[in-house]
Amino acid sequence: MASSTSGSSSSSKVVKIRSSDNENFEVEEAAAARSETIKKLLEDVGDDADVIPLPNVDAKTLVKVMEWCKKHMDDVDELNKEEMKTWDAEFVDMDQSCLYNVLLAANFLNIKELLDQLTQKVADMIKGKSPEEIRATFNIKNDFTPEEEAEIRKQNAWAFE
Amino acid sequence: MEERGLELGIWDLPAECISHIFSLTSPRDACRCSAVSSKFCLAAKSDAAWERFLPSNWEDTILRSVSPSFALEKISGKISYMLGPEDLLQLRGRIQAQLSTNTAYAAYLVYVPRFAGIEYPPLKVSVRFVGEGVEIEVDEVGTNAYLLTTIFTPEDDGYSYWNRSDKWMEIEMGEFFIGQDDVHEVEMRLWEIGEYDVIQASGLDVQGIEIRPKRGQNE
Repeated sequence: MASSTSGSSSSSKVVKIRSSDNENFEVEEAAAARSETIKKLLEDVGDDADVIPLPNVDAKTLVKVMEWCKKHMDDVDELNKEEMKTWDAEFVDMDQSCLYNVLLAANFLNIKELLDQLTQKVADMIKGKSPEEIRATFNIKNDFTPEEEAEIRKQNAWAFE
Repeated sequence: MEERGLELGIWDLPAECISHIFSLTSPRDACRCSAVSSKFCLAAKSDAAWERFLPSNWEDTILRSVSPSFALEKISGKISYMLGPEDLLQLRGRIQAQLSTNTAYAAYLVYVPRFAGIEYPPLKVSVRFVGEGVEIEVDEVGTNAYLLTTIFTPEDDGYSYWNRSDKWMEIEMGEFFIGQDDVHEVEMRLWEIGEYDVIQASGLDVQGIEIRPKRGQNE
């Protein structure tokens, strides 16, 4: 990306996107284009684009996703890297339902970096936990019979020490 | 509008997504996940979850074996059978060890004896790092491995086997530690020693060599 001081304001071009629950948002094109899906749609429709409909993402989730996209609109220089890391860590610190909604949206919108951050967040919630703790964390019902569970534990006994 | 957001749980994520999440944990975590629920079990056992734990060239160097257990456990290093000048069994496996760092691993030979009732004298096993151009010394000492025996009672002089839940038997071949930045080739060897007049090559079915984190000391 060119970093000329005056010319970069061309990125302030605005596009309209619409959530699944029919809310319209105006977003800077550079931010929206962090989504490969939106970028492709914009390329396909060219300047004729009125509103880009996103049938899989509700408004609440879209606000979150666009907040991330805005923050990650520009290339980050070395100085801001630490600050960005802190921001990202705070960003993914949300309740689980929200986390999965944003994760599914990032998947659909094809925003790889955001998807990576979110999946890493979920992975970190799993790490170091016993099966019981994992069930409690994610509110998962154990649907194994005691025999089935014992067999799985036996097969991989080393992992349960 | 705030309330419109759907209440989602981790199980609402697509299976490939959950597998990807597991791949970002560790082999141990992924195994523990398999005991959580049946959906977790499926995702935890998928190739996608385990591919990242494997060396990047694993498909070239590893013979994949299908079993109810996990792919990584089933790392069967490239194995070559060789019969020495005196028809003695030698088995050698090598693997490029790009495994999890700061972890103690052990290699285990997975096998069944082909004929019941045969007494097997100990074979020798060894595990070590090898580098490019390192000569293999054939007469290395090695450790006794009692693959199947009722007459020997090994105490501190070697490894003894145990029965796995999948009807195969297993015996340790040795251990190694992967530090922070180690990318090593690990060589596992098993060989017959000449002082016993038994040809074992025909008496053993070898499934492969498994590499996995070392079992605890309390076993």
